[in-house]
Amino acid sequence: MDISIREKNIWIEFTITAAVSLYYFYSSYRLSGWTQVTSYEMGILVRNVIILSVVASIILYALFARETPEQKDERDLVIELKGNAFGYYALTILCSLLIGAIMLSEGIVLLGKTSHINGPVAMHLILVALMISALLKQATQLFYYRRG
Amino acid sequence: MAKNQIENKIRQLRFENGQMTQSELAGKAGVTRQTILSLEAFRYSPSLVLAFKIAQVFQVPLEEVFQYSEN
Repeated sequence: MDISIREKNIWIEFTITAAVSLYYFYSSYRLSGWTQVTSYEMGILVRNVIILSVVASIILYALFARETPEQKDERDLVIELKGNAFGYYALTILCSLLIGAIMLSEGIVLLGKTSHINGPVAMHLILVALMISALLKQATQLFYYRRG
Repeated sequence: MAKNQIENKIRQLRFENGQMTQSELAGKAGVTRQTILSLEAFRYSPSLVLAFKIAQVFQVPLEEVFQYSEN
């Protein structure tokens, strides 16, 4: 497969982001079902996420991307900009939906009913938005690199 | 079939210039080999600066390397 070092690095970043996201959401869901997170549990989870990212980065870069990437040329910059744009659109849309959901849940509370969106759930949803936008940004870059 | 409106004769000019490789042209134009590959496949439209640099490498006028097509 004809692949530049820069593209290889994006594949690695994409894999790490996906793996860390899966680990985070699986662990946080298993801990508390997302609705109740203590700061101690959250601290442990964040520490594990950081350790996992660092270890995965060291292993993947050592195995697959030892070379220094070539200097970015104009096509690399165009692809990076397209990736950033798609990531930004995704983040904007997801954050708007989240704001809508929070406002709706406030309305539900005012009506005297129980809302499913509390502080911890909102935090997880913001993290979902951040991770989806990061994955979409990297996937867009990979799409344009693969397209040729 | 061209995928955008800027077509080019980079591949032909490379062969006419001592079978220059994509890597050699990339090095002289200051871009990566993948960018030359994309240009030859008509999948990427270069900036004016890059277009001039490539024409300069082949020592021909710009319009001999790049052509604008209405199709």
